Amino acid sequence: MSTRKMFSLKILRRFRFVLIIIFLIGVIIDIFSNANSDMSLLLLCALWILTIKLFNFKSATTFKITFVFLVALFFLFLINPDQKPIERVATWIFLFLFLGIFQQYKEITS
Amino acid sequence: MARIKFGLIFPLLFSIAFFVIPFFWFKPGEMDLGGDSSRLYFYDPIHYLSQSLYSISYGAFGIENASYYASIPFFLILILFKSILRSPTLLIVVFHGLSLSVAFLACYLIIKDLLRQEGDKGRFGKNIIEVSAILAGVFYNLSPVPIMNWDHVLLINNLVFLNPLIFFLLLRFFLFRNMNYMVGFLLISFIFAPNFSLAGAPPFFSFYPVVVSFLILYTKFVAKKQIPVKKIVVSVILFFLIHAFQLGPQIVGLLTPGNIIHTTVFSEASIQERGLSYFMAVAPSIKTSLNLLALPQQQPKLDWYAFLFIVFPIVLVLGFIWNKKKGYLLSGVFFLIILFFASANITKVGFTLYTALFQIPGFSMFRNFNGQWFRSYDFFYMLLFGQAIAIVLSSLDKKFYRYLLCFLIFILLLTTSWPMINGTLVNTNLWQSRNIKSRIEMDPEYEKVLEFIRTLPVDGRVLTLPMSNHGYQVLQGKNGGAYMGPSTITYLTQKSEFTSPGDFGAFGSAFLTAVRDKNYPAVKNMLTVFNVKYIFYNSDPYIYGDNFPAFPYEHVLKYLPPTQEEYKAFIENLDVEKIADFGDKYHIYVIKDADYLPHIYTAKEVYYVNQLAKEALIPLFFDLPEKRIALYDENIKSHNIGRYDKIFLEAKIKSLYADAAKKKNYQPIDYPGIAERTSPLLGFLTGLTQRNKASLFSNENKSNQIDDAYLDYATKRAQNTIDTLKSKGDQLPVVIDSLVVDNLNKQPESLNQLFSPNSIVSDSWNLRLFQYAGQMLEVIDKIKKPNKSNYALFTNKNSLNDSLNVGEINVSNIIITLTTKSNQDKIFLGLLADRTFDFLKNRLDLSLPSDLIINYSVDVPKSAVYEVYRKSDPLESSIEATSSVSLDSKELIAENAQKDQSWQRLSDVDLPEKKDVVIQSLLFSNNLVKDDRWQTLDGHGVIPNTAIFMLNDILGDTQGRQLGGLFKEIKPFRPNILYVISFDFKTSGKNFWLNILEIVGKENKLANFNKGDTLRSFDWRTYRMAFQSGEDPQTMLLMQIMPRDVCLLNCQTSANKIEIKNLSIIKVPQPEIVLKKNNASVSQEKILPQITFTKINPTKYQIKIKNATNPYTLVFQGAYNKGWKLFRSNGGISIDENTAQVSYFNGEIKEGNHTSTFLSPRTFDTWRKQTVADKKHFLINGYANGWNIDPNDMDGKTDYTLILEFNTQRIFYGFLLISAITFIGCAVILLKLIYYNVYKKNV
Repeated sequence: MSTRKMFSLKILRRFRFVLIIIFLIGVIIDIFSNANSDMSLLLLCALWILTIKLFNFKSATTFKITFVFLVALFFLFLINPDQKPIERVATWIFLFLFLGIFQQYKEITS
Repeated sequence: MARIKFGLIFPLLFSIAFFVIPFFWFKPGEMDLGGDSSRLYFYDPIHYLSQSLYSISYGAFGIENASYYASIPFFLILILFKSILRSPTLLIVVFHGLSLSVAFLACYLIIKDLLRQEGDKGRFGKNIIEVSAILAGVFYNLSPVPIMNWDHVLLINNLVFLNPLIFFLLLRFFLFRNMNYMVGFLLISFIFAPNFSLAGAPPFFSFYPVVVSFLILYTKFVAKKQIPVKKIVVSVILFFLIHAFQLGPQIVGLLTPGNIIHTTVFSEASIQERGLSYFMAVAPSIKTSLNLLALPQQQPKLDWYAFLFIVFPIVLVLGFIWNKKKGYLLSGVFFLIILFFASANITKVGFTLYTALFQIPGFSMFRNFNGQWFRSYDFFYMLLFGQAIAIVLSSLDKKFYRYLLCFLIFILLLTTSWPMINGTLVNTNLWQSRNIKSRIEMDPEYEKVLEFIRTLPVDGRVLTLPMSNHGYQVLQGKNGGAYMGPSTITYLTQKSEFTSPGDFGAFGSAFLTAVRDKNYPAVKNMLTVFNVKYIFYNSDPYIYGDNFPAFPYEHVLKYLPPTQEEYKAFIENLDVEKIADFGDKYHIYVIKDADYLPHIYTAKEVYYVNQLAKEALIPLFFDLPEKRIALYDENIKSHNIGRYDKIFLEAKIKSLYADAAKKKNYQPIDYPGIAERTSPLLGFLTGLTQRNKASLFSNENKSNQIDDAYLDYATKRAQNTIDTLKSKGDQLPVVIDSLVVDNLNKQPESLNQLFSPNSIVSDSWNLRLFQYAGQMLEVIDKIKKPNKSNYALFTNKNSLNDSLNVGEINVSNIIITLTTKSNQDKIFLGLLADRTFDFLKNRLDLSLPSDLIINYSVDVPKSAVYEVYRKSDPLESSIEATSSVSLDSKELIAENAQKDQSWQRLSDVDLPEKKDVVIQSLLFSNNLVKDDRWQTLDGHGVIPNTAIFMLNDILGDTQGRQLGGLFKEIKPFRPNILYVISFDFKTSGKNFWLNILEIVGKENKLANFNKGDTLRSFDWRTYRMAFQSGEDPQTMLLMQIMPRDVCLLNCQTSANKIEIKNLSIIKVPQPEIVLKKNNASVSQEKILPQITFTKINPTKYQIKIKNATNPYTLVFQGAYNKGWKLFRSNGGISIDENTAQVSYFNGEIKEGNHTSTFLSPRTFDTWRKQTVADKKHFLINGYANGWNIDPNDMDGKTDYTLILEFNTQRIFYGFLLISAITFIGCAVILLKLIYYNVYKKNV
């Protein structure tokens, strides 16, 4: 890894908890807002990937977040199966499964 | 987990259980045969097989359908099974049972193989593998999505077991490189060929490419084995060879321009009209969440236990958390790919990518994407779930939790699928019926009907009554249930049949109109030309009446007799002869020989009709003393007008009223730059494609098409301006200029009075409205070209007026919904918009002419004296309207017409050969308005004291616009008639809606919007509107006037006042006018050859011609297709005219003893033979095949034999030979390999 990259990661590592909170809040806003923007999905996924790097998360963590999304889906479904946030959560599950599979593949092959 | 030796016991027990399930669905003798494509092959596979042997369908006119061949092996297997089982009920339950048990076993074996492949012997114990594999199989069969499809089982449902079975065979092939499995796959695919044909393309392409990709990657990266490339190549070749009998003819069709398969796949219309638009309509209703939960889509209400299915995705995710192997990851990747294709709504980028895929030819097969991908999705869900449950079970330490999890999953699947197990799910009522069950025990009397129809000697078509909408036959069973599905006569008797108006194709509406108008001569003429010989009438009130109040009769009831009693009267009027009764319900009639036209005949008279094929039936509405006619339409360019016996010219209506009442139908073109920001690349590419599209227009209508295209483009561009108001309206400022305010209470004379320079200097509401006005002004000025005809100018203005109306309504709605603007701003914007549209409409100056003259235009191909006929409307009353017809200012006087004649003859006219001869119809219509009475919705009448009345304090609202205001009924109402409304009005600048509403149906008081407009004026103005009433004669027609705008300020003091006077509603009859010319000298000289024809099978006829000394037209009354070819015969079957069973027209046409011979020594006698008169093969009679044959085509011979054969069938025999050899070869190879393997093991 280049010195510049290490240096920037080092700086970011100080704010990793802030980043993770931003990520969580961003996801909640994304789910419950009516915006339905792909840009927010992309940015939040990028933020999560950065968080993985900063926290050295394994794929199991990504899948555990997916599990949390599933639980959220379950409760939203119980309240009202037709509400819009459910589809947004489903999209997040899809994306996180995809990210997690890719992450796990890299772990297995390495 | 305790060491329990499962061995084969538990899987076998489950297999047996699944096999037994369908036995609970039916009582002895019961069958479920109905639905879209029916399951009549279970009832009578022997006779059902016959329609698979040929590429011409028995239904209707007999169109080509090469996909029928694919079912031959499957039906042969069913014949074998039925010969053993005897009972169709037993055949159905055994087949379904085998489907379920084979599906379970295949899933079980797949999961076992995958779990064993991981190489980690310690991870998954034997018991865990067994339990996981069993649970996967149970999930695959009993989860909610697959069980939904057991109530209407189609041939495609074979995929339930085919998909996992084929996957298992291919998996074994890839892992063990054993050709046994591949040969097994080939043989199974041959038997179930419908699922590997073009008709089965969508589920095929949604599964096999994905599966093969998965297996290749799995073999290489997970199992780490070599891909057996050579064996795969050999297998692919063998696949095409073994399926040559069904793929060959279909691929030939696919590559033949004009063929129905080619058109379906490649045409622009099919991509847009049948693919993308369908997809866009369906997509919003498909939910990714339901797919994740393995729940069915598009259900009106989810079951209460739906939330419990969260356990399945939880198991999948837990599997990922505890996973250590690549196999599971690979399965996960493919699962996500299939989830994307089955859901579509995963991110906007994903959705856009999906829509872009529709540009690929053939991708439109996935327009019902969820329906096409769900089986593939269900399979990969099972694949992932089976592995996931093994991972989870092996990761759980305590046995109790393992037992609990397995038990809960099993109980969940078992209980939720209980309605399917006990037969409730499949014991349904027929759709929209009064609780009529779909199970049927066949009526023995009806079986006699079928047997009788098979023996009918004449090769003519059957008309089944009562007719239904969609070609469905309804039949009462012995047990009180009913069959509702494709006609049993078509599929089980080898007779061609008409069951619905749709079977008549483009002539359906003409037939229905003739029946409704009780025009029995026209009905009989149509039945003659459509080759109808027999009528089957089911007089059972059970199947036509209260039990089926809507589907499948709702459309035909508007035209055809509504009760069985009236049907009996209808049949009597057709002057037919009864030949058989079966019980008191089933009756068979025969059309008399004098009214019958055989399947093949020579035309005695040849007519020319100046219409396209689909409208070329005008002569049938006249008296036809000679039945042997050939109608040539405008498509046939290379003809000599002098050779026709009669010429029929329909004068085309060029009516401004009709055009004002209708919307135009043209091909829209999207010019680049319509979007606000179009990238240069996209614009360039769009321009390329659109230039290509524009070049497709023929020269004659290019000018009109380009006008239409320009209007479409320009109005869309202007509409975009309004669309930005919708998205940015709340953010845009409103500039209120005092100078402009003064001008808002009067009619503006220029845009400068409404938009001051200050108000449009920066982005604002004012600027956007000004831009819109500027864009529309540009279009208005462009269409007013001096070289355009009045008609063209009016139609363009009318089109533009519609756009202005739409724009005005949109702007008004946007203003009302603004949330950040004050009432004052909204009032200002409302007035500014009103005055802007007033200005534009004044500039457009669209007005219906006040004189009631309908113009007709006709191109006269030959100078002659023509008889002129005007269509009589049997329901028309002279009290309502009369008309006089004139040509070159000379009135054409009506001859003494009898009341019951459908055509009124006028004076003859001597016309030169000329284009665009104008005939005028001058109308005298009486005002239908008898009083000044208006009503509110609750029925209270308002009778004004004078002719001027006011609507005060009657508020309507734009959301429920049909509820408010005052109504006036328009009487007497007639369907399909043009009406013109006119009145003088004054609104003092206020806005009012004028709506024309249709209240349809006897019971349902539903208001359909027909036409509408905004009324607004400062001074007295005259308003005129034309509209066309709908088709339903039971409709009530209402005119509604109500205030348009919601009051925002001073509501107490400002009244909604409209003054109306001189209200007039008149009918504008537009009768058909036809010019007819008899060329008596031509037909007197005609000497026709004698013909005797014999049907060999539906795709082959032998025709013996005698005394063909002159040119003649040979007509074959089957759907026109270039594939029908004539060949010379060297003798063929000896046809002895003396033993011919039927003869017509004094022996000039005879029918031999017809057969249905699939294969015989003479099957190949047309191979390598030249065709006869192929270049003189035309579409005639609107649908049939005609050949102009003269003695030169036969080297001067006058007596000869021809073979008429369908080309696709000839090709099929060649491909069948290839497939048969390959099948036998594969079977022999498989037996040898098995024997060799068994022998080797024993040794």
